[in-house]
Amino acid sequence: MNESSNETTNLAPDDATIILRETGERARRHLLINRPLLFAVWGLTALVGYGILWLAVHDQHPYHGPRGAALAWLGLVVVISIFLRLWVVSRSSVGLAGPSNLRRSILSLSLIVGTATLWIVDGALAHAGAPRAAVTVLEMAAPLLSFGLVLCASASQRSNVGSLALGLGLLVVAASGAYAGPIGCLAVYSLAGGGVLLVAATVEALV
Amino acid sequence: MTVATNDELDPVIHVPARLRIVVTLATLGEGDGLTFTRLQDLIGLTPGNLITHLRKLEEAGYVTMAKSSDDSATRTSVTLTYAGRAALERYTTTLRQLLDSATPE
Repeated sequence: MNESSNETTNLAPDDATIILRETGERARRHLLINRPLLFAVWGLTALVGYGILWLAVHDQHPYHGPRGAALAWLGLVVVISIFLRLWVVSRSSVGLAGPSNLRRSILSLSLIVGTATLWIVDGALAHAGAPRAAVTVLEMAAPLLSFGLVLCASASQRSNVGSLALGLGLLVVAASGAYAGPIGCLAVYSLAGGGVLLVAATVEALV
Repeated sequence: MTVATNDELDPVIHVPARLRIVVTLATLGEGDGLTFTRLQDLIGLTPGNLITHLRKLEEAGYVTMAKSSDDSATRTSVTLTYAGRAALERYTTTLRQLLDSATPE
């Protein structure tokens, strides 16, 4: 496709329409983040990650938390998820310059700092003698709470109703799952949290 | 409704290469740009042809080109201006009117 810069091109309206459509599709494929894929990665991470934790603790009486192998598997799932997220985002960022890169960095930082802050508060509660069940529930809910809030905040930037709905959905799952206690919340977060994200991936792919 | 004619299509955009450039840049968020090499990869023009078309677009006020340099190389990033985005919207509206008027009832 080595086109001359000659100005005498007689472009028919039908051909212009084809160029508009094909170029737009190609540009979107290469330059926009693949949101269905990203949501699917996060959904599977929640489904498998919380699922591993639930499998490790569901028959514990009394509850004493996940140990060894379960934490190692969880670590592996999180690392794979982070790697896939970086891959999905970086392939659309090649050669990109401008405010979008900064916006993405701010959102990623907000998610990390938000989750870490909740875990620090959680540690302070444990230190102050809060019941183990309450501490564990907040610890498990922290990623969903931060992610939900970050999605709601990002939705306001672009008036994106889909992101707002997903963010609110995750907040509802995080809040309602807390009532299931330290073991039950893991099943809720795995199935409902992962489910909400996978539904969002499917909707994004279809729209 | 007045019937649009081919002459009403913006001649700056109504050239295949420039149409592809403007549509590609319009996919990005407002204020975002692409490096010259990435744009070249996506459009498939030689550097000489691409710069010629970009200069035409720049003269019309539809794109801006900014150079930045780090230790090893100089990079040019190309950004669609507000006027460029508006011109593309007008172009697609006119094109739609042209096609509608050409379609038999």
